[in-house]
Amino acid sequence: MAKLMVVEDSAAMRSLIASIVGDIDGVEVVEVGNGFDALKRLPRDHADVIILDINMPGINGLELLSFVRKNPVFANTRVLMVTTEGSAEDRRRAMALGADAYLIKPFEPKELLTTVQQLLSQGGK
Amino acid sequence: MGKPTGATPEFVAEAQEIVDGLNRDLIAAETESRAGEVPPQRINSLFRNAHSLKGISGMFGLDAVSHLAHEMESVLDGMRLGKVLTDPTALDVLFSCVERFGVLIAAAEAGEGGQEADEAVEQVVDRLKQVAGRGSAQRPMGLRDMVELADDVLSVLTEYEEHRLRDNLTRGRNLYVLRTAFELSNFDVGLAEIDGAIQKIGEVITKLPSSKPGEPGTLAFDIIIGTDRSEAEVNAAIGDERVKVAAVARRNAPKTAVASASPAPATPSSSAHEEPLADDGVVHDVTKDAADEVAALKSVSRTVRVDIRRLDRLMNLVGELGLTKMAFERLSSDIRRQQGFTELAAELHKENRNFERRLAELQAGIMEVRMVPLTNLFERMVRIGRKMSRELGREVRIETTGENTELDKLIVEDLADPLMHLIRNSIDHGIEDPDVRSKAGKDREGVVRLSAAARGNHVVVEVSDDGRGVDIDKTLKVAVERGLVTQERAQELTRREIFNLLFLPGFSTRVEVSEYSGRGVGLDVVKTKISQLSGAIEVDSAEGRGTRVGVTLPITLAIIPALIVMVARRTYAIPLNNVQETLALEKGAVKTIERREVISVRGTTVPLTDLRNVFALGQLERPPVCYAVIAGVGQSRVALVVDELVGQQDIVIKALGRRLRGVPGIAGAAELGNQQTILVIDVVQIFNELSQNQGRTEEVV
Repeated sequence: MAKLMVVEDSAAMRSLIASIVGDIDGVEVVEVGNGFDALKRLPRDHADVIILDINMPGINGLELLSFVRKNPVFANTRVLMVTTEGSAEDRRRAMALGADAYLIKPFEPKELLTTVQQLLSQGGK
Repeated sequence: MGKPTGATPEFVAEAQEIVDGLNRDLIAAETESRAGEVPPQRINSLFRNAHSLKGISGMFGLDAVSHLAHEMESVLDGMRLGKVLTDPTALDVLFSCVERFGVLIAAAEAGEGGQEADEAVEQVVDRLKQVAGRGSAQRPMGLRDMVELADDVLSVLTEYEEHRLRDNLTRGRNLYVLRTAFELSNFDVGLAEIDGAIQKIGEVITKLPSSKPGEPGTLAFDIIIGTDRSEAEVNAAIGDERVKVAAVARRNAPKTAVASASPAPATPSSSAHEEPLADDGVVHDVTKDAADEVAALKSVSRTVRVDIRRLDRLMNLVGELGLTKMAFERLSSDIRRQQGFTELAAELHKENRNFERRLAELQAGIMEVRMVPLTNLFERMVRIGRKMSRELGREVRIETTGENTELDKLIVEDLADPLMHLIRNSIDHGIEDPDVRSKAGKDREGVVRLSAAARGNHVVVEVSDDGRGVDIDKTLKVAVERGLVTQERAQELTRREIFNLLFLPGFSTRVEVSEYSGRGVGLDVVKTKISQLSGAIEVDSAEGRGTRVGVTLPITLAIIPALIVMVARRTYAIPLNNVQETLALEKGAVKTIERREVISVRGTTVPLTDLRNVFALGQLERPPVCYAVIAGVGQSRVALVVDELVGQQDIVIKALGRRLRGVPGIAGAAELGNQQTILVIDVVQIFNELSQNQGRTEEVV
């Protein structure tokens, strides 16, 4: 069973994303409301794919991404960044830090589904 | 699921919260701007809110809100990066945005469109664009040329953090890196403390979780701060020698090159004055439509989100009022005893009864606020269950009943994982392949039933299936093989005791591990989780016909009625929801069967446990007359021996300090009147100890 972690500080957005990707066969979705909780849960819930918002209070998406990328334990973890149209610069940085894909809000549920499915099939397992 | 369109209640609640936040920050920013400068944190907070609003409104199909939020966000982004001026004109336009949001969200909630951007929205958008055009677009100098920071640090900064770093440098402040490590479980608390200390002397620019693994279970952070204080002063402000402070060296750089990039400079660039903003007609546009304005000012949502800790605090107060009530009661009966039934005594008694009733209502009212129906959780479980059965090639129908049953929100949240596990178990282990089922004369389609029902102060949630049931012989065989029970003892176990073996750590009847059930956790984990919620779990099964797992939970953990007892001159509280009855224990009533003390309660044999043994209070003899408290968790029962029954009282359980947290059999502490603190007995844990010792004592003796 593959595990998806949704890290997003907006509750409405988070549950929307979770309900879209929750429909993929064979996945379990973990919802996390900020970077701190993500850091706490990552060692326990080894996510196969992390869906990560860049702009969050506390620890932002880029910091979390760099933590994941530098930690060999998460070598097989795919990271999908969720950004908005305006933040092109942050998006570029995310890709430079090793994000696997990004989506620009607002996106169609289908876009999200396809991207996540692709990432799942690329994953280490 | 498709893309939801329109204003769901969830969307409206969050959108309204964001708009309120924007409004608050703008009001503060106006004051700050008049006093000199709007601090960067304020602008960033405004930006984040506009950003969030844009995100959710876009996803929920409210294009007008999303469009406006987008323009507002880019203006705020420019401000926080020092590219756009933060002056009264700009703030004024931002206020118009917030007003417009209020109107749009109200319209959307009422189902009156609000999807398409109208003229009023476009007017505000035009003004935003004018504000955005007034910035100074100087190319900032590369940070790598300004400061000695490793590339892997610089590369993780967002554009905003980079700008803050640059701004601090330009203002001639000192930069420091604070390196510290926290325990994984509470690092956010530690970080917040440092945050608080730094806010007083400067600014936290970024917090980087370090990738270098330190001690296991800890997390190291590099925190970059900007301040005009010296290193010694920073150390003093933090006051924790575990935090290592290191200064960041600057490289020589011409300051003038970046000066224009700082936000809200004291002398605004000339262009701001040359270009008057939109004409007054537009600025005062809102007055045209007074109704609009009222709609904007009124909070749209009829719901209030409250931090559950606030409710806990209220609940604590109710608990303390309960103590006051008890004191009044005591006084009232004292007066009656001393003076007889005088008018005053009767009056006092009556008022006290009144107080008691109102207090009970207050308590019930607060409790009600914490309660949520299980509907959402059940829907989620059905979805997950369907998916699992599809993947495992089973034909399973999932039925739910009683989803309107309500439980404490905190309990509902913690119930998801154990429930999911139980459903998984039913689908994976319980329901047979369609062919096997039809051979056994069952429907090809199996049924997993999820149900909930209120039983007084408890809620029973059940997961049952019509699958193959628990194989008793196999269960015993595995338990003996794994050393969970001796061969001799295995012969004597009752059905219920055999089913309880399934919950022991290290038990898993399936030799081959399937994708679902084999993911590391066994039923023991489910049981632990349920025990943490002061609940009980038990299995009943008929071979070939199915399995039923029942989870009994208290409706709330906040305040509970308890029985106060004395053991060896110490006072304890036993949660009343675990108590079935109490009886006086005469010497002759206790029998010994297989080295265990038991008593007979109306024909059934109940094992006896002396609390003075559990808590090692053995120095005082059991008095000639003592009492048995018959405690039940699920279907099992035990008689707890106590010296004295004091009475019944509502208590608020408080967590124990770190030193006592691990003591088995203790759930927490509670305060009685007269400021006496007593321990609350964890009956579930005592049961667990008992059932685990059962197998072992046989071997030892």
